Amino acid sequence: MRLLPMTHREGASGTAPRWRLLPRWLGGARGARPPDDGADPLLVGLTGSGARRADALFKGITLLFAGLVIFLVFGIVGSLLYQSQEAWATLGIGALFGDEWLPGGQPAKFGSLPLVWGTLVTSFIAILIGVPVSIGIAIFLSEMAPPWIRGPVSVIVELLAAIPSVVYGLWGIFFLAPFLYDSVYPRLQANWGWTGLFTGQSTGYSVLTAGILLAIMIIPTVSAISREVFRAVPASQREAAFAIGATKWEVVRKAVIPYGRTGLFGAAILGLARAVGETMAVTMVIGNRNAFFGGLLEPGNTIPSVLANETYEASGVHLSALFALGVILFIVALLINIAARILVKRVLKQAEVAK
Amino acid sequence: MIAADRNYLLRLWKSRVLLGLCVGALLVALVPLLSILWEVFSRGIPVINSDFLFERQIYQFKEGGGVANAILGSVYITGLASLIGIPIGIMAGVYLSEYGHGRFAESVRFFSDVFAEFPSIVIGLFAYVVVVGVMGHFSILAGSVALAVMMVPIVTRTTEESLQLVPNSIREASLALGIPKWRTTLRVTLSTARAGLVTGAMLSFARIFGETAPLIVTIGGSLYFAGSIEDTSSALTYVVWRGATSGIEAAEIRAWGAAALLLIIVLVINIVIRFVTLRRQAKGGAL
Amino acid sequence: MATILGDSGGSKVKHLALLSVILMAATAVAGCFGSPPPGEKPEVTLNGAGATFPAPLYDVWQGRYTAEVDENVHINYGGGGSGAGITQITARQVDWAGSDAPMNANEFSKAPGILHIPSALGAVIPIYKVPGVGDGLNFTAQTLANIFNGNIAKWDDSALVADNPALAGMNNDITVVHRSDGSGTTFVFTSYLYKVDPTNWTTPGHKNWPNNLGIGGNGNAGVSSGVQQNDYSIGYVELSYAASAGSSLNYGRVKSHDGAFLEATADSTAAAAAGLSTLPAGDASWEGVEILDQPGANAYPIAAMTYVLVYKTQLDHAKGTALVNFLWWAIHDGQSDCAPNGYAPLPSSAVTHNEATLNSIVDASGNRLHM
Repeated sequence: MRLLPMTHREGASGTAPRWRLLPRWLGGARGARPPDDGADPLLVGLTGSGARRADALFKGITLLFAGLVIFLVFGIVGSLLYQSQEAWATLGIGALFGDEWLPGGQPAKFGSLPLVWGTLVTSFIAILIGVPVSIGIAIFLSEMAPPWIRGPVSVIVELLAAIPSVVYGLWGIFFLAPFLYDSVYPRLQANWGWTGLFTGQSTGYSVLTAGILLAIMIIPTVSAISREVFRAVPASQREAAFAIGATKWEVVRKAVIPYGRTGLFGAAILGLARAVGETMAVTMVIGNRNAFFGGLLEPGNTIPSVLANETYEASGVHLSALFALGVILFIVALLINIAARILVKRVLKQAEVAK
Repeated sequence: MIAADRNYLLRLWKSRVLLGLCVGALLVALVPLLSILWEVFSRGIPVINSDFLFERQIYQFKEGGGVANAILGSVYITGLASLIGIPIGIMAGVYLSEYGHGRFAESVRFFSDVFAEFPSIVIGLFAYVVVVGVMGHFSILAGSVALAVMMVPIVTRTTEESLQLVPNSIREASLALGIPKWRTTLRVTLSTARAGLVTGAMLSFARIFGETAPLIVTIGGSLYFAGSIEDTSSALTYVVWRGATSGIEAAEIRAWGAAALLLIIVLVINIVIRFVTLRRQAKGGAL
Repeated sequence: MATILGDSGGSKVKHLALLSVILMAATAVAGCFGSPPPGEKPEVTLNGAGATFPAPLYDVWQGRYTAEVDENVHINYGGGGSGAGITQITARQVDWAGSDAPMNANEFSKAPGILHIPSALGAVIPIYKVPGVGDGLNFTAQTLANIFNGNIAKWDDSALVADNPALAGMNNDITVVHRSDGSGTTFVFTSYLYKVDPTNWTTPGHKNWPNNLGIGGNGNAGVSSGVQQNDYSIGYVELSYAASAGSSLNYGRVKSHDGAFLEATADSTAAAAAGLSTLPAGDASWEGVEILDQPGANAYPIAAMTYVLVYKTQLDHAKGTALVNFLWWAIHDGQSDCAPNGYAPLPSSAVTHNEATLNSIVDASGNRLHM
């Protein structure tokens, strides 16, 4: 079978001039159609108009699938909104932003503020701890490490990303929480109690534990992006700083980081987005208490955690309120995500231009 | 002489200390990793024996049997999810790479990127409404739909990246020979990029193999081997979650074993991917 | 699949990876169409959900039934709490449900044709984890009510020390652990508190925990692990959960109607049902049926019957038959599993009553299913 298509010019069927091949009603000559040259059916779509049609069809199919991606996003959001209608209607925004989440109370209360607060505080702790560590790792990998170390070390750091979140939770329940409770929290309460952050009865299954676990989980993402940002800093910046006698740290601090500042900020926000949406590890160590917490060492709860715990058995207004929580969570995560993407793209574009 | 300059010495030490902190940061990341690996493997591997791997779970609250039905459940669910999600992702990635130069493509890229970071529980809720709600009960299909939806943005992104790495000269050579664009894309571009595509597929497979939150509200849990996609089923991640939160020792032991299995499978896939990528890069370029 | 440039040198690893992905996908598809080999009796799967109170007992039952009586019947019990069980059986999403709380009037009206079948007796016990203190702390309805509504905040409160000298000087805050899901165990516990001490516990018994004190756990298992994980905590679970937690937590005694501090055992639980006289018909409402705070020297005060909820008309003949046979076995042979597992067997009057209920179950054509 010939792979290469035959062109009319090669005279598969004689040398009929092209206009003669037009349909009769357009002026073509009767009987001028090239006889069927035993064309291989497999060549359909490979030549001439058939190829154009097939091209259009293929493009259309792939376009459809690409559109499916957008459709899915809107479908998910749409279903959330649709299912939460009942809650918005019967409870009203006031109730949904009340300060107590007690679906089983009499009367039932669906105030989401304690959960929103828990989500934000745990995520905030996560980036407070995780971002400096990630940037430190990125500095090490891009500025300090000899080339032969970079590969293996970055692989190892990325292994942290591969660990399933439920395994993080398992480790959190049986190792991290008891360890923090026995060895760290008493010292925190004793020495740092003046900050007012560590009041209340401490427990291993608390907001701070969840924040620490989240910090560990976002390290691979934030450090990978930070590395990209550092890599995008042109060598000229570093060289200029070295040339005027800066120490290595000063080069990093005064030349590299300011240059990539926007991108690092974007990486941090991306880490924040992941922390906000994390479910399993958080729900296993946060203590599951649906109320405002006094100190970081007390139990709390987050929106994803509540969704995982209560959706299974909820019905009626309760289920609808859970979907409303989903909408709130989604909006928060979306806004954070958009901000991060814009920032990271901007810094990487800057780098392209500067080169 | 500069070295005698006190100020400079101070700065030098400050630099060393702060850079040392960066190494410290690395250790801060490594210590939990090592701890997790140690805890999971030291507690989980002793649990794994032939019974554990090949017997179904007999009791929820007592010892007995193994997690074979959960292993099979995980394979079914992620396998079916891959079957649904990977083709969609590849097709969308092809569009973005080969035809995507306009505003529509930009918005697809944007939504796909945002989509990739959705909280997984929200996607589980979506499947709860769309599949469980319609079918009336939990099922493997619901879990697979949720996981497939999670796979699509990842596969789209990796496909687009892999295809972008294929040099234009190859496409142009094919087109110059008269091969139409659709066939060029299918036969030439995709083939050339197939290593990247496989990597992307494996990456997304590993990622959803470890997911739990969407499964909690879709698959329902079971002690038996699932017979069809309409059945409820257990899964490895589900076993870990249930056992860890049960307060019952037999279930906790089972959870450690399942977690060890999970880690082994997920880490192996990830290491293989890295290894393949590094080798490819060592060979020179993306090809 | 050669390109016009020739094979690009794909490594064996990549092919292997592709092959394994395809294999896995293929197994997924194959699994969709699996069916038992011809000649074997078709498998029947009975999916259940609901109360975690009897879950350990149902777990033992399903294992025994499949192993000893009929290996073609697959019995799954999903947990989720009595609330979830009632919701799901009402929506016919499961074949059978468990609940420790009988359906209230509202729920009963939404599930026409539902039957209540008591399956066993169980006891709700206070569990706690206090460093330095073992089993056997004494509680009364008053102290429990005040602990769980927040009035008693520390372990060395005078009311507690009065019954437990060992607690003197223990100036630690009490962490309360309660159910976060709709729970029959909560219903039993709060009904008891309301019945005996309505002054301090002002809300009637309900499946939903009425305040946000302390920590919430999912299922009896969640409360059990919550207590295990937190020093100076107290919670309430069914007896069998304390046994399976081993030494990680302790359980206490409760003052009975007659004034003695009793431990929950199979005997003391069974004694609580001694005064059970007439039971409602299987298809009637069972709202208000309880065996709390019963008189008797050895009658444990927080005892309850747990119910299986099924429909009188079973739409699937095979499933219905399997279900009826399983339940018949459970209320007879299965009762021997109660005492060793932290429950108590039904009194014989209840068993006879259940037999009549089971015999009333019919299929869609009206044929009786139990032979």
